[in-house]
Formats: sequence, structure tokens, C-alpha cells
Amino acid sequence: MFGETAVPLIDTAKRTRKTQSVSLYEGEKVREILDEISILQEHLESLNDQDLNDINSSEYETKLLIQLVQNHDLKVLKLYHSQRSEKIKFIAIQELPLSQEMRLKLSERERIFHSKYSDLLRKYKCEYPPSLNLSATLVPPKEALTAVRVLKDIGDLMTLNGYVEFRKGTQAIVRKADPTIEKLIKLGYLKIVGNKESTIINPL
Amino acid sequence: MDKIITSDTFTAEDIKFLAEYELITIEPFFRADTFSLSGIEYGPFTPPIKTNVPIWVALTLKSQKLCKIISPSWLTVENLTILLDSETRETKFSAVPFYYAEISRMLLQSAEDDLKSPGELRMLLQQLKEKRENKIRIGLANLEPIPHKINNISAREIHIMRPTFVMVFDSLRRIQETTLKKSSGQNLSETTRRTVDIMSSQNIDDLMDIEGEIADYGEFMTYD
Amino acid sequence: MSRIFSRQNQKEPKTINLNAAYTKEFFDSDEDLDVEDEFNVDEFNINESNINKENNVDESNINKENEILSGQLKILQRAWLNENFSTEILPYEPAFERLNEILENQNIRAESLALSQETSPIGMLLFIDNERIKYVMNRYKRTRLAKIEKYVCSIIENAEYMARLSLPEKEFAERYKRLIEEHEHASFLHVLPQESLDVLKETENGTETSFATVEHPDLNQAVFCRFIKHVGSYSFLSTPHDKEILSKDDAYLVKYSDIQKLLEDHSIELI
Repeated sequence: MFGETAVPLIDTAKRTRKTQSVSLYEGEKVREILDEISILQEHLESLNDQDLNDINSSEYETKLLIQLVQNHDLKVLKLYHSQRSEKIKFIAIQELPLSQEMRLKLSERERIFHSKYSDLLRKYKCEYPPSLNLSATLVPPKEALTAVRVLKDIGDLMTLNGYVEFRKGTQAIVRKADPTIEKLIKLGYLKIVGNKESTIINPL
Repeated sequence: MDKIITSDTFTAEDIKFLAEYELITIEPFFRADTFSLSGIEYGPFTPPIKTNVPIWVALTLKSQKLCKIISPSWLTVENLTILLDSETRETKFSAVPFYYAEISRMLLQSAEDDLKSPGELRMLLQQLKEKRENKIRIGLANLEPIPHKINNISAREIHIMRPTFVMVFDSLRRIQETTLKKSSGQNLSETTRRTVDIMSSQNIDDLMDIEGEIADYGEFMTYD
Repeated sequence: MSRIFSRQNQKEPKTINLNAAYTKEFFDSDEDLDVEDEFNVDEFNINESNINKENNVDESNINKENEILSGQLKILQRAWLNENFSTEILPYEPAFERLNEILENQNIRAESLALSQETSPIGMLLFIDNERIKYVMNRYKRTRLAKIEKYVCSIIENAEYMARLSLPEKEFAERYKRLIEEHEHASFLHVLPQESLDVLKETENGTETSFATVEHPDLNQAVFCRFIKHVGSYSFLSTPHDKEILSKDDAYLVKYSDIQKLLEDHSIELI
């Protein structure tokens, strides 16, 4: 039955809608939908070849129906791809590289999309006030400083508080809003270990 | 869960952030001259003279044991009892502060020792919350036409009900539209109708709307 | 390097003015790195003055700047929420640039906060305050960016919407549109025969079954709003025969198109 080809992609889209993870690109399914559109197109053209005056109401209806299914198929394709690119964009705006696992799940085109979208953001950031960080985590600021545990050796690093040595297993007190620190947390080099202000702030 | 947080989702955390700009009275335990935050001057701080600061300032100082927070006048057992009573009797919402849920929750969480009978406050707040949400549900079930006046609705209530409201009014519109469509397609053949049914059962329009987020009920649901 | 808690005049109540500036620029400069000598300060009773030349700015100037800062922040907060809850893109709010100017001015003038001061309660408050301002600014910009992406085609097609974007936003919109078109073309559209796409485009006009290339903001979506001004007797567009008295603080659930004009003239805010 026409119109059913798109079901698997819709299911995927529904299932992964609320999650950050991306499922394996279903190139085969995409292909099938594209084939359906093409086959329908041939149908349509054979109808078009007939003399317009000859077309009776049922043929007119078939024509409408074909276009309806084609529309639907294209909508699904767009939806499927745009939902995936939303997730890719989310990674890019955090200035994160694609993980190996992620790379394998994306199509070739999607990997290109990630790098081009990152370029686009970089260009936009040139015009962005230098004191703001477009890629900052969108969580309201709470405390100024936070303690972090170093999960992987980083070495000496320039932070907003000057050079800090990050050696695996040690802890450091850093500014939460420091873009460098934010990035290292996102990349899994640092981990926030409780943000009890009382442990950080000098008592009176 | 690894829920997607995109910049166009307005979270419960954001409501809290905005609520934290409301002023509250503190009794400072330290001395300091006036200083300005976001262009507004606060202080001077001279114990035991009370002074007003934004809630986030009060809570930060409180966490350092540098002040005592004076409970806002509406957050007392007496006042909540009155509110609850009027919430029960009237069909309209009782007059609570726009951020009452966030403010009371923050204070109960971080300044419990500064509140009188916190246990009772929690109970009253929980009842108030349920009564109010019930009112909203009834309103929704009655499909009251919009524009619809909803004075004294609170920020948290809007946040929680927004997806439902938007969805209900959207679907109402869609139903009206499809009724039109269906009546114009009465002469369609069986095949056509079945195909159309298959496609509409796939419900992709719901998926198109990335903003159709479910509100993050999360920790905002209770007062403990 | 001077401390932020300096005062102009011993007799006047002291005003610490630092909504500024703990930015890279400051920390990148050499001298600012050695913060150690600042550590043994009596952090709380900050009585001594340590006046920096640049801090000798006219008091009235600072007051004026403070006034602008608090006003503009309020405006930008509101703009953020309005932008977030309306489906169409709203006019770019100049408060963003003005806030940014103030922050940058203070950057230049003001001394930044060393780690030692961040850990003092007031230093910490100043720091968090600064982060809060930046958060609002960031959210505003990212909300717009997300919206521009979502409705990119309909924005670019609409001259009025385009006029609402800042220059960098316009450039971003155009580049983003090209990127998305390129991506869709390369991912699936290129496989389809041009004729089938043409046919689909033809059906686009008028029918509900149209090929949804372009996502348009739904101006009939239900929104929550609150009156920030007294408006008085008024009829909403969709109910022209009902007169309502609209007062400050009234809250309504309405169709967006009903309050579009009221939002434009700042009679309401979206909540």
C-alpha cells in the first residue's frame, strides 16, 4: 500500500525525538521512500500524457492521491533528516567534535553538515561580544566557583584564573563560567564534584 | 535521560532564575557599605538593620550563614490558610505572587530555619497547588473559548500547563480544518480514503513541532 | 592593580561598581596574573581606598550608567521571554547592544576580580551578578538564533521579518538557509527527478496537502500574556463584538494574532 513505506522512518523519528542520541542512519529506508516517489512520478506522467479532456473524475482522484503520497513521503524525509540535523547542531553549538561512535552513525553528508555548521557558528561568533560565550551551557548561573576532579591528565592550562595544573586524580577550584573549563567538562576531562559553596568560600 | 536541551526550551530552571530577582528582606550578620548589582544599589548592611536584596543574593548570603531571611508576608500559615480558603470558595484564582511556587520552594529548601512552622507551610502549599491545578484542569476540560482571562495564574502553572493548552487549542483548530477536508472529500474512492487514513494515522504533524516539549515537571512537583 | 572595593570619598557611602568584567581580556594581560599580593586583604570591611586613576570617573556618570544598566536589563529580560513565547521573530532589541556597551565600558574602567575577591561574599555576589547579566544576554541571542533557524525560509522571504534581524543575524540566516538546502539536496532531493519536485511545488499553492518546504510561524497559536500597562476598553481581533477592560497585571490566554499589536507597542509581555 502506498504511504506505508514511510512508516519505519516515522517510528525512528518518534522514538528518538526526545533523546540526544542519534540512531544509525537508515540509508536503505530513505532509498525506499525515494523509490516510491519516483515510481509514483512515472504513474503520474502516464496520466499526464493522456488528453486532459479525457481524464475522468476517478483518474483525477488518482492524480491527487499520488501527489498526496509524494508530499507525505517528502515531508517524512525532511522530518527525518531535520530531526537528525538538530542533534548534530546541538553538538556543534557546544563546540564538541563528533565522537567516534557518533561518526559511525551519521551519513557522509551529515558529517559534512556538522563541519559546515560549525564553520557557520564560528563566523557568527566573530560578531558576537567577546565577553559572552555563545556556546555556554544554557543553565542559569548559580555559584561563581566550583570544585572539579581531573579525570584525565591535561597538564598546565591557562584558565581565567591563570595557569592551573590539571593532573589526573587531583581536584581544583575553578570558575564555572570559564569557557575552557566548560569545554573540558563537556569533553569528560573534568568532573564537577559537588558545588557546596561553603567548602569553597573563605569564612568571615 | 539524555533529553535535548535546545536554546528555545524555557525550563523550570529559568523560571527559578527569574523568580530570584524578586526582592526579599534579610537581616545581615555582617557590615558592608552599599554596592550595586545590575545597576541597583543595595545596602548598607549593618546588623541588625533589615534591608532588601534580590532572592538570589539572600540565598547566597544565607548559604554562608551571613544573614537571616525574613519570611515574605504571604508565606505564613495564617495567610496561606486564608488563600486556601478563598481558593476553595471562589472560581477565580486567589491572589498569589506570580513566582509563589518557586519562591516558597527555594525558601523551604535553603532557609527552612528562618520560616515559622515549615511543615505546616509545606502542607498548605501542596494543597493550594492541587486546588489551583484542579481549577486549570476544569477550565481545560470545559474548553473555555479564548481570549480567556486568567488573572493570578502563576509562572509555574503556566509552565506546566502550556504544552497541554497549546496542544488542545491547536487540535481544536485542526479538527475544524479536517472536518472541512472530510466533507469536501466525501466522493473519494475506498482506496483513496484508506491511503489518506494510513497517512493521517502516522501523525507526522505532531513530530514537526520540535517545540512541543513536555514540561519538565521534575522536582517542581512537590514541596519536600 | 587596584581593588574593586575602592571608594571615591571616605565620607560618602561607598558604591562598588562592578557589574563588569571578568573576561579574558583582563586575565590575558600580564600584570593581572599575579594576584597573590591581593590575597591577604580583609575581605569584608573594605574601608581602605585604593583608588585607581581610571576609577576616578564622575560619580554621576556611574549613577547614570547604573540607571541605564538596570533599565536595559529589565527590557532585555522581557525581550527574551517575548521572543521565546511568540512564534514569529520579533524586532531586534537594541537593549542588547546597550548592555554590552556598558559591560565593555566597565571592563575598560574597572579592575577585575581576583580569585581572592571572588571568594569574599560581596566579590562573589558581584561575580554571580555579572554571570546573570551575561546569561540573559546569551539566552536572548540563542533564542533568536534557534528561531531564525527554525523559520529560516519564511523569514528570508518576508522583508518585514528580515528588517527585524541584526546584521550578523541576517548573514547567519542567509548562510544557514544555503547550508540546509545544500544538505537536503545532497541527502535526498538530488535523487528525485526535477519534474516530481516541480509538480510538488505546483500543488503548494492553496491546498492543505502542500509540500511543506517552508515552515511558517503559526500566528494563531495560543499564548499567555500579561498587561504591563493599563489599556482600557479594548476588543480582541477575533472577538470584535466583545469589549473588555484591560488593566495592568491582567493575564490572558489568547491567540497570538489577537495581541500582536499590543506586543508591538509594549502594552503586554508574554509569560
